[in-house]
Amino acid sequence: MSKAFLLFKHQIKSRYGLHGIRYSWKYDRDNFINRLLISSAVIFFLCFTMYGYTETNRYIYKQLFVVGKQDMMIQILLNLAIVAIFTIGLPGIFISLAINQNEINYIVSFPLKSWQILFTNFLGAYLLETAIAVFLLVPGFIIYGLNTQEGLKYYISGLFIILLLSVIPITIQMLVIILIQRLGYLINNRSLSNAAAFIANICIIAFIGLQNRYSNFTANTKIKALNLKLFEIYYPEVLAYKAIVVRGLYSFGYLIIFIFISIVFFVLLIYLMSDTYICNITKNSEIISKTKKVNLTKLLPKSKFGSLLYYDIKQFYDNSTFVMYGIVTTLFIPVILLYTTHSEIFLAFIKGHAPSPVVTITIAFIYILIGGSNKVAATSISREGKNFIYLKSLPIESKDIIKVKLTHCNILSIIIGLFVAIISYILTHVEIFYILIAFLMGFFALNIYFIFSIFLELSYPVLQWENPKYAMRSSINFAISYIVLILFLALGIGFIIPRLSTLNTSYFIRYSLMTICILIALNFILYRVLIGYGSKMYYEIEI
Amino acid sequence: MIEFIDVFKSYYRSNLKAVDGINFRVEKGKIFGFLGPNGAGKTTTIKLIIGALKPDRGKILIGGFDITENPLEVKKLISYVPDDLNIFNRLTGVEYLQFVADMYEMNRVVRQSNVEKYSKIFGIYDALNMKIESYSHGMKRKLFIVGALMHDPIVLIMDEPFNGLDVKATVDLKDILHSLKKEGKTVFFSTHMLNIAEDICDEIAIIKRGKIIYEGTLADLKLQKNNLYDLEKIYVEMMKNE
Repeated sequence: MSKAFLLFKHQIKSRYGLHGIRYSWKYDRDNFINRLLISSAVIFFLCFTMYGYTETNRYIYKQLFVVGKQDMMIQILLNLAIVAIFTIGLPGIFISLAINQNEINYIVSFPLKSWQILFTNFLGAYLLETAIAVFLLVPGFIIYGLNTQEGLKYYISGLFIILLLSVIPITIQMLVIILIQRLGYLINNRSLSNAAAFIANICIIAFIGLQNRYSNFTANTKIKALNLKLFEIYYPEVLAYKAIVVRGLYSFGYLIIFIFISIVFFVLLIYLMSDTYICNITKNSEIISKTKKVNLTKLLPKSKFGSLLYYDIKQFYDNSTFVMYGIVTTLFIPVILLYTTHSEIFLAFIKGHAPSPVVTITIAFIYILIGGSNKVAATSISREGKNFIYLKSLPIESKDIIKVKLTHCNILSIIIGLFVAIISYILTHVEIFYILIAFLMGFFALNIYFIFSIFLELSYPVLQWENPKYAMRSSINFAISYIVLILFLALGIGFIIPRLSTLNTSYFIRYSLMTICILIALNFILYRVLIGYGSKMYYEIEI
Repeated sequence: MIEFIDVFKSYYRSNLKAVDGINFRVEKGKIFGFLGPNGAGKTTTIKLIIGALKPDRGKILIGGFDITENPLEVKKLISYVPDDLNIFNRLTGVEYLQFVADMYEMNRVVRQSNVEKYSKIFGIYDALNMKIESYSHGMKRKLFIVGALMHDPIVLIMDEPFNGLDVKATVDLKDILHSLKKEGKTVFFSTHMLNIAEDICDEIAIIKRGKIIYEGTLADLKLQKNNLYDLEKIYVEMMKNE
């Protein structure tokens, strides 16, 4: 077991670049101070978000209390947590199981048992997903507990459920990936099996997400007959719910069954799938030797800009890790979470009450949030890694690199913008003119965010990495720019939206057009500043 | 063609000097070997030449241009073969070569003929449509050498170019370097392999702990040591004593 934990420690260091605090303090003081500042910023951000989330939970509890359905609070929270665990956890699990990494080939050469290797993978996913469960469940559980004056038993049950809630989702996802991969190798098609494993997991999430919708729900009429269909298909959630809500000794029974089922799932995964997993790793390492015939007549000259853009896009979208943490997470998470209770309340509010200005600005904010969630801008320089040394040896002007990075971000931004616009139109039926205003506002505001992120990347790139996960997960630029984005949105929602509800439409249009003009001017100025700064920093960046 | 004037460079976030006041000059049309043990400062020196690192102090001139002041002019003259080949893994060989050709703004005829010529010499022509990540170490080395040679550089900078090459490719690369020299091109490369340096270098420099401890021809070096030892013994002796 100690070997498994040592391996886990190594994997965490490899993915996140974490080293001992004492080491950093002794040998790398600058790094220590940087990390301290960033950690403080992240903690501040988490506290801020937690506050907002807690307030939302308090609001939901009050609404449920009015209709005497307080227990529904626990169901709503469990539903949200399970959908989030399934959804947010998938990219990490898929990358660690299905995508071949150089390190794993080295690790299998050590005298380790197959279960130890699978166990460390499980542990990595477990820590991340339990953190999600803690974040999503603790505030709501405490609000419910305090308001219903629950005793110690409630909190103990809650703790066990929070700690074990992610075990079954992880097991299901790992089981599906490992089995489908194995089946794929039987038919000798690695790519097909990987794609099938990912799609199968998306289907599971979509199925759970779709079942998770609530019927007969409007914010106006509060909560009538809520029909939580998820309960019908995901039984562990019923056990978790009953372990918390049911009074008396029965609740212990439900808790013990929940713990027992979680452990059984975990043990069965480790016992049955470890050897298959190792077999998959060795199959994953096989080199594909099939190649097309070389045709050099296709080797036609392209402009430097065009070639750099092609290279940037290819390098990003051909790397599954970047795709998972970039575009897939960006598009996938909002779609799935759209099916949770919180979105239902939000949509009901938008449809029932909100005037056009509020809807327009809300759409713009959603566009900015989704567009800013991907890591394309915040890892624009870092994901070059060691390629950067080679790029610097080529006759490329720094402004060309910056233009390419910004263009790549904007291509993605336009796709996301169109996606948000279409979905918003279908859901809210607001006039196309307002959708256009929201799109333009979102687009130009996002461009400022991209400029800011690239500015940070030029200042603090992470270029020393072997594992692309490290480049993605340790991107402090992503953390900082995301915090700025959320603060901007929080301030926007706090200050702008309340004032819009009483604003005359013609005034709103006038102000919106003025805002768009100001954003365009800001874009122009910041772009010039970025090019100037980039020309200096490009030659300063060292590996 | 390449001139280092009192160049200093410290390791990142450290006061330890990777390059400690080095001076040397490589004339046009020469093959220059840069020798030294692991961690002596060879790769740092090469990174300084290609502009990947900025010197803390001193000047580096390539073809009369200062790399710090005119980086773009210098980069149009040079080509670089890196030591760490774990790069551009997601591209196919032909995509990588296309990218390099575009950066040097090569015309269609030259790029097609040079890619064909050099990739056939090094025996990787048939693998050009494969992803670089599937190449063996030697094949990657050959690909990056093709990438460096295809735009006919004035100065060729190579970091350990012979590592991982098979015997035929080693002989081919030596022949190519000789023909570049005949065309008046300059070659600067680092190596651990003394026999290769002896075979093809007009001049060498030996670096140890960031300082140049010898610069000149190998014949002069042997003469200095009274022809008592073979080159390997002289080198080992220098690493011990200096």
